[in-house]
Amino acid sequence: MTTQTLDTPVRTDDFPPELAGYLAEFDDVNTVMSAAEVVRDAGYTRWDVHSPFPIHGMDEAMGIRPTILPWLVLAGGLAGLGGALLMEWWMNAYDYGYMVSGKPLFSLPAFIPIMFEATVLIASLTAVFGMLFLNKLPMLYNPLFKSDRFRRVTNDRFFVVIDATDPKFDEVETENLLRSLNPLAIEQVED
Amino acid sequence: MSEHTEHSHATSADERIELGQAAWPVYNIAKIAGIVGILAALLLGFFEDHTFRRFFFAYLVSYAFFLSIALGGIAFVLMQHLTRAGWSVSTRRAAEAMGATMPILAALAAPIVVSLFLNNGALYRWAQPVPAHVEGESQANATQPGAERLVEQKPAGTDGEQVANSPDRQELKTEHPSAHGVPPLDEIILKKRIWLNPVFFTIRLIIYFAFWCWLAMYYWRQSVLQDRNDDFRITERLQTLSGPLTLVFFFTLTFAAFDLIMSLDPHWYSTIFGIYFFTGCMLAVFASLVLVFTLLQRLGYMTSSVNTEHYHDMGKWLFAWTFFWGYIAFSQFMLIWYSNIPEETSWFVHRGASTRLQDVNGWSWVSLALLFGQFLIPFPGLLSRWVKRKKGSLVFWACWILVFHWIDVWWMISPELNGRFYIPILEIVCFIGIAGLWFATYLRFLNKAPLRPLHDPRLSEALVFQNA
Repeated sequence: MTTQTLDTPVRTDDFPPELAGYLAEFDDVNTVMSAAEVVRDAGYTRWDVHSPFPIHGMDEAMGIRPTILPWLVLAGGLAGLGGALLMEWWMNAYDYGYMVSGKPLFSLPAFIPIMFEATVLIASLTAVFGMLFLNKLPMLYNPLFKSDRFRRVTNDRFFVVIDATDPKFDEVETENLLRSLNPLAIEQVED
Repeated sequence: MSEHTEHSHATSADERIELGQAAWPVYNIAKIAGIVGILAALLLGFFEDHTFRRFFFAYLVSYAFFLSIALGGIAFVLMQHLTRAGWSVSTRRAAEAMGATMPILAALAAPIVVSLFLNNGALYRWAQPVPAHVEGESQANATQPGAERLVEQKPAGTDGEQVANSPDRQELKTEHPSAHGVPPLDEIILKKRIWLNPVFFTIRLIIYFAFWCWLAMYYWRQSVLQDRNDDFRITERLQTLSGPLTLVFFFTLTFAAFDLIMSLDPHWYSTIFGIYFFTGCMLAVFASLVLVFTLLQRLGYMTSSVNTEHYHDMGKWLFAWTFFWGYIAFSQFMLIWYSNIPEETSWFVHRGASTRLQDVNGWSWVSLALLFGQFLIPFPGLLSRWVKRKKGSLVFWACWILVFHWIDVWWMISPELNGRFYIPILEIVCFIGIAGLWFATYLRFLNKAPLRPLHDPRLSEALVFQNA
């Protein structure tokens, strides 16, 4: 009895598959680069390119604006710098004055190593978590995982994926656009 | 020109990569400026004081400055081979030629060696005759080494003890007026004479320069040879050798910094001093490379094989070494400041880097200028990406860093003259002299081969790469 219930597949009839977007498959960097340029120039905004490795120049080909991450890291670094100075002043010179080695209670040269380390620490933590946040990671589910074709993205295939939520998305026109790029295949991604 | 360019990469077939006849007028001007500059400096130095002390110090400042560019060139080339770097291939020949100026620098070391054998301590104050009454003792000590023994043998209240207790130069000068304004050898220096004596010092200089000349010329020649025979095994061989050679190179560089600069104050020692000088070398070479390529491109050479991406990378290196300079300079300062031992702090006291009012002198302002000009200002200045990618701003910072690198070398050397601050007029005349001779040599080497490698296996990588 129990085994039968477990084996019964989840009924999906109540949730009919929706079109999540189009996926176009390519097999080399140059084609996917020029494909990205065409999609960019067509005015799409909610789309992405997937590849097994970083492609230099892809940001420009996709028209992605420079990331704000450096500014976050700068802010993190400055916060670390100021925070460490504040902490050292409060701990060593204000709340519990403690003379070390005959130096003044508020002794900048002695504080600098801590300020430096705190700057590096907070700046690098901001870089890591800011990167995850800006990339919306961790993302545990994506409709693309359902596509068998998409599995080769970690090996030797390149994909242009246009999301159905894009304001310019049109079931027919988008497909025509992608077809004009001479991909190996086009697939409807279902969610 | 034609036999080289026909092999050039497709994207840069039309660029000019050989200086040719155009270099000669500049070469001649530089050579004349060099000779006139050195003669003028000698003359000025003679009128300044007849033992040429001021001249020797002024000469050493600019000599160490150009030595740092050449050493930086060698370090750059070694580093690129060590990491099998692709980005730098088209910029490497200019750095190889900087290293290849080493023979002229070896020749220009002559005044330094001469100062040693004048045996009056004019430049290095340990280079003085050992007093007769101490000579016997120190030889006895050499056969039976032992610090306590020497201290016991010394009669109480001698010069040595006073020096050890009060490293203040002014005091010494008034108590021991000598013909050259140089304090006589004291106990500390006598103990160091095993290492710091004119003969052994000269032998070490010969070893350093023999190695550097061989190293620089070998890498330059092999790289030029590859232009002709298109043999990728040359690259493989240079890469294999770069590991062990880097090790030897850093030992020689560290000891040369100890010998040439640190031993000016024979009481003082800082184990980080070698890497401090090396940091200056790297700042100097990247700033120089930026200026060399800007100049070459403005004159119509290397127009396509060096582009924004290369400038960006050199800017990143400038930024990194700027920070590293701050890190090393602060490390040296903080450990000495914290332990607060007079024999170590004296070096900073001579440079006015002290908060005691009686220590403040002209060098205090140079110390502060270094803190801001070599680190606190260029660090945020070079932080941003666009600063490094825009040629105008990068050239500005390259000039800035070169100027402050010279001030850094000046600050390391000149306060040891007699503790007084000088307006560096003689130093600048010496700079013109050495700069002329050095630049003429550099031009010669640039002119002897194409301005970039023609057949390096990674050349195509250098021509098309992009910074992410």
